[in-house]
Amino acid sequence: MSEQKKFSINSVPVTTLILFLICVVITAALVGTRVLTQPKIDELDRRAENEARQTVLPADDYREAAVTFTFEDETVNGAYLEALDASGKVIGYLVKKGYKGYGGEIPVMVGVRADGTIERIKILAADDETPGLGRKVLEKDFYEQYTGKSSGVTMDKNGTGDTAVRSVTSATYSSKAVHRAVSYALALTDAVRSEKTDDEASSETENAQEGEEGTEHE
Amino acid sequence: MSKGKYLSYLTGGIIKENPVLCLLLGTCPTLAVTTSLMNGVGMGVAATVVLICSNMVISLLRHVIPNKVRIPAFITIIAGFVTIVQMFVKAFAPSVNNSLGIFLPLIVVNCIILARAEMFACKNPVLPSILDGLGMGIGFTATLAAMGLIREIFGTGMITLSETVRIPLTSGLGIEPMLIFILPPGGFFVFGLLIALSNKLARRKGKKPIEELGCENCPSKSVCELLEQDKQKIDKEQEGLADE
Repeated sequence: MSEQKKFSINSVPVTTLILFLICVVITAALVGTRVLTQPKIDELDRRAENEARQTVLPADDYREAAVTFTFEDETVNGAYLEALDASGKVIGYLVKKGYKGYGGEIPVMVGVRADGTIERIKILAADDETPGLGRKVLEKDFYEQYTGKSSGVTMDKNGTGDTAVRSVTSATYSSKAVHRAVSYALALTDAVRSEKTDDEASSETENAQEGEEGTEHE
Repeated sequence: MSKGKYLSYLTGGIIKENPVLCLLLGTCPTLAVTTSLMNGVGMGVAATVVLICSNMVISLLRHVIPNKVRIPAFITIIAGFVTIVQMFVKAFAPSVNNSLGIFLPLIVVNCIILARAEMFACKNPVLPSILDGLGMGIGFTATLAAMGLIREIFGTGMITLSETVRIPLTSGLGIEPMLIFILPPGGFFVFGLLIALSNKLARRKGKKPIEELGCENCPSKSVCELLEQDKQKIDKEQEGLADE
């Protein structure tokens, strides 16, 4: 009698075994689905990333790089992309950065030309922002303001003048998040460009004064 | 088995026992994703696929799953199907994935699916379970579509079928859309009005609307403390009467 009870369907060993089997079968099904769909998902991600890059700063090739710089009183190591033309010359920089807006993070891709002015920015997603308010950062009227701006661009309610952009009415958090990301990108590219000019200056100095080491980059 | 009975499994979920408007299940995703027609439809279709698959599998395994562990078993099966649907949506309909966001994986705890598994699929054969899932899914999708359409029209003044296809309705008339309709309060307004409307229609057709939410539809019926107390109270009363 007790043996019968031990292996009844509601006993611990039997319930454990059945749950285990259910999990095994489900896991197999999930692995199968993943094998089927992952290549397609990766392809879509790659395509979206490339499309975003080409929209923001068209180039023949992109090269990964990183630089250490100061932003908002903190030292940051920022990753970025160098945009190259067919001959391999750097024509600009791509920086992707996201800050929390109202609901969630708003990733922004910023394309900066070699002279430090913005080519274009693209708001990659604003899914967690309020429709009709924060989501308006996705509209051309807002983000196109940044084209042509450079370091020192500010944001206020009116956007008067050449160095200011207008925030979205009643959507301060979302607008500020975008502005912060753009400021980050500009600070990063300023650091990259000043390192470049330092390099050029010091190599000229080396040529001019033999044997003296450049002190700019330590 | 009469054809009529099978048909009733299907139509029950659409009007008479509409999961959202009558059974008041799945309210959270309903309110959250009906900010547009296409969002509502996308969510409805995804949930319907999961509902049919989970009802089918749970019905097939209804004699095998031990009663004591049925809830963990149901949830594991449902979560498995939701993850599979999520992977397919990510691969073949990425815009739907972006719009639904976190509500796609949250289908796992969508009350409709767990409730139908507990109340129907584990007690009925496969074909009725599939039909029940399909009917409930159609009812769910139709309700989401209706709510999404109303909220989108009043809240944005146009219908966005996709990124490129938009049907502007009020732009030429100089009417400003009422933003509140796509914000949470608007969701509640439309929800309440739709429930009132469906009750009115049910009354007109002679069917009594559900006036009080009894315990029959609650998925937690079997583990409910309150129900246990009620039962004990009734038992005590009956014993008291027997003594007299």
